[in-house]
Amino acid sequence: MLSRYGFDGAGARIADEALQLLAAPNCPSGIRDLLLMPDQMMLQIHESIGHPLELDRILGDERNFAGSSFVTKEMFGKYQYGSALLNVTFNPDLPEEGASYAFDDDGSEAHKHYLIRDGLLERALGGIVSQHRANLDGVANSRASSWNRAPIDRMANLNIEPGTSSLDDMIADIEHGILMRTNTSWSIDDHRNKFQFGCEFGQLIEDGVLGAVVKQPNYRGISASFWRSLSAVGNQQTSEIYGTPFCGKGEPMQVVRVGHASPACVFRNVDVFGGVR
Amino acid sequence: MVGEDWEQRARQLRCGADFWSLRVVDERSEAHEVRNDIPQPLRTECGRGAMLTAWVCAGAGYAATGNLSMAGVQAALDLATARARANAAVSLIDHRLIARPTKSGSYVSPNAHRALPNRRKLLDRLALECVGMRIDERIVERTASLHLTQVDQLYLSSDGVKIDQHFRFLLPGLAAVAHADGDTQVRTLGRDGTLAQGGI
Repeated sequence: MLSRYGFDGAGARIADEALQLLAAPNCPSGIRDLLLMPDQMMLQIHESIGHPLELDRILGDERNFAGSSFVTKEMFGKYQYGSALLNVTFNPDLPEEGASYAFDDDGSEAHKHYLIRDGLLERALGGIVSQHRANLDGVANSRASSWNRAPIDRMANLNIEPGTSSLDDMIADIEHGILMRTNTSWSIDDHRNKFQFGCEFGQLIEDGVLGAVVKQPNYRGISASFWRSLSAVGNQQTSEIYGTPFCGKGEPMQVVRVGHASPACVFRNVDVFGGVR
Repeated sequence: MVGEDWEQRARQLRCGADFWSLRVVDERSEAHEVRNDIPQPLRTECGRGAMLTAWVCAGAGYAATGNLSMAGVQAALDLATARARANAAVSLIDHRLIARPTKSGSYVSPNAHRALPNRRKLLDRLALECVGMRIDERIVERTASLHLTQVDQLYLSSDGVKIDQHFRFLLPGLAAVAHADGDTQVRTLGRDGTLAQGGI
């Protein structure tokens, strides 16, 4: 597993990149095309697709704690969540992904399902009880953080299916843009719609060429329109599997493990900005 | 580890609910870390207990217990059943209409049963990356870490369903903090996003 993350030998590279950030200018502000690498895509998927599609949140259970969702029951089967390039799956079957399992904690057998296909919202992230309450199709994602909590609707493995673009082609197609890697901060409203995310490492792209490193790169958007600006989805070679043990939800709080696999993706005309000096 | 005798123990539980289930979880974790070339103390955590769920008419009730004796689990099942009975008349969800689990099965993380290196070997590997980050005096903090977690989980229901799942989670981490002229920048190996299942 360590080799998958390139652990051995990565120390020197990481330290070198920290020094590059120290010497780099602040990220410029303005509208740019945005190339997100998989270790930031995981956060983008998690916050602005995963949480909004949790069925108990849509049904209102989370309003007094983490909030609601801009998604409503009526949108399933009709709502264009993203561009036609967007394909999102609940996939508990990928070996080595953080939240793979055979059955959820209500005893439902878990299988891969498309939640969003060709940009169209198809299916919710809801377990057997929420499916009954909402009269909607869902997935086996009723999970508890441990023995002392009752299961609720959780994300598990939520992935973006690879597209056809190579990384080189995606960079070459960007006239005025920025590449961002590795999430460092996030903020999103309680309907999981308006968001502002920050990354550790940025690189400007001008006229199809990857160039200068910039520090404190951030971007903001609105979930409902951001995914429709998806203009390129990287191929399998750009796809990487990430995951975190720190997804929080519920009252009392339940912290669970989730997985997010994604290729690199390009979004057009995104509001980008730097950090406070 | 969740023992093999749970099926036998479950058969001895007495319950008047229409349906009930038992979910036993045993979780053990250890965190290894080398910071600025110094091995940090080993941190370990463990948790073991059971969640009992009962459905009575429309109602559902839950009760968790860390007392895994026969009497402790029976008491939790009695409490879950009483809670289900108490809310049956006012439940917003009619649990008689919820599909019950019907299929038994199992799951094991890739290489979950393969032995892990001992702490000495893990620390040597972490130390290698930690010293690898020492490339400039402006790198003021260097951390290499590995968090390992084993979770064994057994689900049994009054309908005879048995689900046995064994997980091994790994969370490797590298972080370099650079500082100069009042500015501080951090670069990591995926921040907290490097969770995976499997062997080293």
